[in-house]
Amino acid sequence: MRILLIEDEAALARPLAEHLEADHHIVEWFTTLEEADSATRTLDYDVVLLDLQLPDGDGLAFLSALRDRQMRTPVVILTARDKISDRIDGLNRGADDYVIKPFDLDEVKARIHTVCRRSADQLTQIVQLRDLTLDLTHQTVTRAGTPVRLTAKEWTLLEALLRRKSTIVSKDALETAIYAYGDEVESNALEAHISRLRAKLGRDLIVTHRGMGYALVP
Amino acid sequence: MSVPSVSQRPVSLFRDLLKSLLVPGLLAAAVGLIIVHNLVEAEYDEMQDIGLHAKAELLLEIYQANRNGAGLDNLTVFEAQTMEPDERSSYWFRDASGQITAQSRDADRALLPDSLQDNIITAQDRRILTLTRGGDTVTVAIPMAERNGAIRDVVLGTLLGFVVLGLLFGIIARRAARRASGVIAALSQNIAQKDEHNLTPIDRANSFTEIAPAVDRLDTLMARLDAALAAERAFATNAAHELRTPVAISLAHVQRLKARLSDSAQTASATEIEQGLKRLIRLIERLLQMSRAQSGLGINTKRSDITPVISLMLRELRARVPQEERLVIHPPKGPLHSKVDPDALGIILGNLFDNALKYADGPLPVEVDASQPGVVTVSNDCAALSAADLDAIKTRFVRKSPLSEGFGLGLSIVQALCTQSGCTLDIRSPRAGQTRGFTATLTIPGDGGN
Repeated sequence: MRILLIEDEAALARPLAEHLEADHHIVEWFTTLEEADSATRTLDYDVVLLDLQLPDGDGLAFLSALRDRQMRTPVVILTARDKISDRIDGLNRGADDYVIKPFDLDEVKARIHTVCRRSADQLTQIVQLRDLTLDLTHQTVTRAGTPVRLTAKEWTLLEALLRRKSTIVSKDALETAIYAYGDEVESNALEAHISRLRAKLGRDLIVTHRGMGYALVP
Repeated sequence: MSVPSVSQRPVSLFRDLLKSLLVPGLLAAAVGLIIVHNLVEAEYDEMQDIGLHAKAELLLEIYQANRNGAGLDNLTVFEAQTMEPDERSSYWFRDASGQITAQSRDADRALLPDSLQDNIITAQDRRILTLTRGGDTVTVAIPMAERNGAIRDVVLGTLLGFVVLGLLFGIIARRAARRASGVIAALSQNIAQKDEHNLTPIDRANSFTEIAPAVDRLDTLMARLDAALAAERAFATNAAHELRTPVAISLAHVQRLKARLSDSAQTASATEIEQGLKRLIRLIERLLQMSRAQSGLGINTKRSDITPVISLMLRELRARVPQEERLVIHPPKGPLHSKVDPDALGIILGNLFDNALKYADGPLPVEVDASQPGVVTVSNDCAALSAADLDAIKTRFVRKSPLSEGFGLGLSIVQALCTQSGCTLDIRSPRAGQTRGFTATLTIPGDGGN
């Protein structure tokens, strides 16, 4: 998943980003709302982690602006504001969850999965697809009961296709999902990852639509 | 330090004003009446005495002109015809030797003074004048009843005037006192409505200039108190950020460290640090709640629907315990408008839920019933508590068990916020109809509907 982390406390943002990256997520961290706003206008994110007290403004105003722009990306507020009125206000403004600092890193991870699952209308963390069983929490795949080893990039690619199951996902969108901002993307790297996924999970699982992109076929 | 003396029995301003106006008024009326009485008496006496003197001179002239007493008979007949017996005068004529030479028909000899000296005296309820001219002395006695009656009539008339004036004065004084005390009462009521949630300037409508300095001072003090309370609340909010963020940083780093460690001893140490930090987090949580409770969080000036608060707390509780067999929730059925502060209610419910989850150690699930309007019941299965234990756990720093992980603050915070907000908390053990368990019933003031 591509995660946008907006947090001005570097000492907190670093371990959180590291924890999420250890789970093969791509985390892009910004310390100001201005940078974050610019990022959301450039790239698509799967989830936004938003602190409320930021040097250049209130996170709630940023959240309202996102929703006004019809941006439906799940937003998890990470804040020290613990009053229930703040929580209700945050949720009313369009946040999908509200996590109060200090938090357990694994709990944040679980909340991210929950809001993304809810956003993708998935009710469980275990997805059955043909003879494949995908555990979204533990990021494991079994094929006909046999574990399949995927690289981080392959898992991220599979997850990106799974979230938009049966629809064509453009090559650019997939590259955005699996590469961090500034990463050097080699030509045909995406095709190579798709090819390896097909080899591991089934040839006809991912269909190529020439000039348009790829689609995961259930 | 000396303690300022405080009046134990407050005095009614209305009564005091009325008393202050009426008592001097009545006393002045009484003194006025006495003065009027004395003046009227003196003046009337003087006027009557002049008349008596003229009458004596007339009688003497008639006597000396008609020694046969014919003219006097006419006078006697005139008085008999025009006056009541007790109003008629008596007279005697005496010569220089004091021998009575003539007298009126019904003259009582006992009234006649011995002296022939000119004088005027009051005796035996008569005014008696003795006058000597040309060797003849006349003594005229007239009854005092008439002049006393006249004086009494004048005084009674004056008294009646005073009574009417007094009544009029009483009504005016009462209205003035009521209006003045009404203004003070309204001002007092306005001040009495002030509390930590309402420290707005005092309404000075119809107030008096005389008490304006006191009201100004009170407004100034309230403004300072308001600022102090706002600062206290702001401290609780800022402290939440200042305390939570460093602990969040520490916890995140420890958890990352744990994830990187491969040595079991080092992992165990990191886990110890992590557990200590989590305990610190819970303590900070409680201390912040206590700080908010002490800064008077409990109640709002405006009513609002508090159902979203209950619903959010229940949703978060369900997220903590997804298993239906461990937690049964009956959500609220309709809106509840109340002045209870949403944050205070959140803290109350959070503590009740925490306690129920912490102490549930039996087979029955924790049950939260918010389906009755204004009532939230939280029950858990545990060994029954004694009456003494039930009393003790509401006290700060008293824990259900010395070995429990709590700080003994939860229920005391709940109790303090309930007292401020008008909520009532009833705790019972065992649960109704059972031999085990604990039930906390929170009753929230307010009404359902719109």
